Amino acid sequence: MKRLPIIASIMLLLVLAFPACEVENCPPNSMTYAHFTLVDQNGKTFKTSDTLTVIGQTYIQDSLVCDTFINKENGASSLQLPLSYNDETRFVIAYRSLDHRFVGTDTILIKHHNKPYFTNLDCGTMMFYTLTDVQYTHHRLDSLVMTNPNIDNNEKENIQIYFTVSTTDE
Amino acid sequence: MSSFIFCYGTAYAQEQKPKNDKETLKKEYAKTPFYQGSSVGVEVAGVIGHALGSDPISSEVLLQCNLKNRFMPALEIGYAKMDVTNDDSEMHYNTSAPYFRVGMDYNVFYLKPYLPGYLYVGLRYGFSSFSYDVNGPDMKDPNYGDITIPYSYTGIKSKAQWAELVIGIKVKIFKGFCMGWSVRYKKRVSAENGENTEPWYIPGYGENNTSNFNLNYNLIYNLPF
Repeated sequence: MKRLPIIASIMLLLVLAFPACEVENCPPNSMTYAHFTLVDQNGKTFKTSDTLTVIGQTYIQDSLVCDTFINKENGASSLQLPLSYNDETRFVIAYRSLDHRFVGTDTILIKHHNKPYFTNLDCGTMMFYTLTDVQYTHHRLDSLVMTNPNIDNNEKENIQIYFTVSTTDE
Repeated sequence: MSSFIFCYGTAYAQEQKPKNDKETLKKEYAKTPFYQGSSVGVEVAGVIGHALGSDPISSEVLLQCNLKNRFMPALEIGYAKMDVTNDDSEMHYNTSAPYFRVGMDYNVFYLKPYLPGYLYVGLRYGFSSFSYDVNGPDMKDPNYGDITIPYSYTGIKSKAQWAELVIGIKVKIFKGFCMGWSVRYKKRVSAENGENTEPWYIPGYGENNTSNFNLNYNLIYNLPF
């Protein structure tokens, strides 16, 4: 019991020290992206030898808005692309393959449900998405598989893009 | 508060000690009646904190009974209100709701009822069912031109549960009046998220972190029955 005042003083000091320990819990990335992985016919990730350019497109009141997100990138094995705040976003992937003497494009149309999201007063809002449908052309790519329709700031793979890869491609 | 601790410590040091070897104390304790009385208290640190500039305001009523001067079941019923706008993010959050805690304290000094106070440790289970509003500036598409989406959600319902570990001191001030202060470590068990939001502040728990610390300061009256 003689120690009671000491214990009380320690408790008080601890309490006074608490405000200094406050931390902001904002996520490191407040932007959210659709994560694409390039896979070969066996489902294995590979680095493409093509030079890739990716343009995002969406319509705002009948006018087409475009932005280039990837410009002439070599050796890509995955793509991180932002979706629009509309309910659909189109990505045009332009390939330039020296090995195959191929120049062309594929178009991926993604329909999505947008989810404005709030976690913390200090961090503001973020846009999360749920993918509802994916359509695509297959000039160079073979097919698309949606592996995870939910896009948030956890940076998980959402879509696999299948290509037919010969040994010279890798 | 700290001057009180000092005064109390000095007064205690000068106190004449009765026979208090462990065997005597145990024999005395064995005679202690099961029911030792009840007390009612009010928590004031939440109001003082708000007066000093903290955003939330809260208060609670504490009901506690004393069994064998050792086990003290407690019920705490409180009300908290948070209405704040962040200057940087311009987000506004508003909630006000009651909360409940049940649990028990354990008197570490149960063998020494002659002392004017005691140190205790305790556990609580906390619960709140509340609704909240969140709104903020319009969200502008950072990549695709001039698309804006408003952000305003009101009346989002949520429920939260948490556990608390309590360490505190209760001392007599005057006749049946006591005061007590405690440090609480709170651990979130669950908190329901909305479709577009997570509750940022939970009444009775504080900010929606995985764990929180806070200080309680109670003014207590020992009921005469």
